[in-house]
Amino acid sequence: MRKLFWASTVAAVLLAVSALTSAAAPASSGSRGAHRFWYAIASGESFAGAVRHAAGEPGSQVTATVKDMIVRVETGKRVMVPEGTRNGVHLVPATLTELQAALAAARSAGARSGTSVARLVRIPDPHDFPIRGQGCNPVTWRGNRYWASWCKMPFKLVGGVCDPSCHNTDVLTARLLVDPGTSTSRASRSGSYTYQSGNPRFSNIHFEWWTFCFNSEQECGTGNTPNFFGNSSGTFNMTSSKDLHNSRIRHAFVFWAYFVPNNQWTPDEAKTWKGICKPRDANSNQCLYPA
Amino acid sequence: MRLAAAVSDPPSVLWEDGAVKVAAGGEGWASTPPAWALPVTVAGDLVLVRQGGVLVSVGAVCAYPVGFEFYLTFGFNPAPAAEWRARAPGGRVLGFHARTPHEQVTAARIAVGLAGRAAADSVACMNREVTWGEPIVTFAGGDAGIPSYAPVLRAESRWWVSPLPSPGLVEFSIFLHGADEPNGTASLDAEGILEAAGRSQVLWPAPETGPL
Repeated sequence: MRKLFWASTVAAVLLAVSALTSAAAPASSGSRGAHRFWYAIASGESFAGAVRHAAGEPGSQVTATVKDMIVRVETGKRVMVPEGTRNGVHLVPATLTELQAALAAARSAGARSGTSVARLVRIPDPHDFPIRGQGCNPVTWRGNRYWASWCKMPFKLVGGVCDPSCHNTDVLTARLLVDPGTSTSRASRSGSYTYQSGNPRFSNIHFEWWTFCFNSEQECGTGNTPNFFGNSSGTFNMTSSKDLHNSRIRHAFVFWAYFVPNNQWTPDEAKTWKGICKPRDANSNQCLYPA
Repeated sequence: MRLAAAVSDPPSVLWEDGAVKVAAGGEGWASTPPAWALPVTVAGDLVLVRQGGVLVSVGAVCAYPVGFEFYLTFGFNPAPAAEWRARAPGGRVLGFHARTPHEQVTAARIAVGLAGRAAADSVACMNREVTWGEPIVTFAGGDAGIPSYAPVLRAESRWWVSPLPSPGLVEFSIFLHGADEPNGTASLDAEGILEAAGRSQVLWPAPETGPL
């Protein structure tokens, strides 16, 4: 009886370990001989875009993995891939057309890849970043309604592995609240980071910021925060080299993190609504967003 | 933890006044300046570059039980004829990050050679995983660069170096605008840093995790 209990306990433990391995540690499945690759993706970026970046790594198995994905879909099996939408990054079932586009992207990137192409990042001009977030802290000033702050600016970076179905292993999110000022503005950040136990793969997490001055949105300030822990909150200041009393102001941000498995800097970008700063005679350094 | 930010084993051997006994060569390591120890400043400043309208200096070295912090100050002569302008491509006068293609070719970097150990390089530390115990020099706050429109072409930043050096010379080298060769180099005796680190006060135990 005691032996039977011991044997059933061992079997239960083995089953639990097996389930844990397949669900929580997809990276290890690569050792079974299947092709795999790591990816890092941000809100708004397509799977093909992530593949293009990952394919530049020397010795990458991106093309072979995407071919495996196509075979699986053609045989009626479901393959999940990450897709960056305006609201974040989600795993969605892949279509044949999407996978063929990703394969073309991988081949294109592979054909031109040098040794460190994948580590180079191209971000849009900060003026062209999407506006994210919303006004908050309503105020009435000189008979008009304004927002004192720009809130809930969302940023999201996701890292994972495809072997060949994709699994998100690292999800890094941040939110900003911006209080604009005529010479110094303040951003309050809060973030969360989920990763496989004991193995965070994003590092060098920080924000890069720009201040745009006047209606022409001339760049008049830029900088980077020091690195911070993903699960943390804090504040940082954005400065302006111009006096912005009675002038327009806007801020743009890039949420940066370095994804270790594929040596890739990963950005997610957004900017605020355009605000207006109180005139000097108001004896205030506050700027407001028109409601 | 792949990127432990602070030593998980805080220095356990203390003098009666709370100062840490620092072994020669430094055995502790942290990826950022520790919050749990009171730094001790080391006297002395170094001038790395003072020509062509460029001034680069290192000063205010603050020693901790597991490394040291220093101030890096840049000044650029704004005169249109200043020599540095001919060697500064792109829109930024100075920048430390090397993430985008433009940043890769314009980044400034600071290298710190610790006696008896491999040199630590600021750009290298920003572009790959840092492993526990390896010599590092990482940005610890201050001005991340100087844009071309800045009213004053001056930047002051703080940098964190860990572990502590072995006895010998600590060499600082500055590379401006993506240069392959250093624009200037200067060194100081590690003895002063080690002596100050030995007087650093541990205020409370080091946490096990920190910034990544």
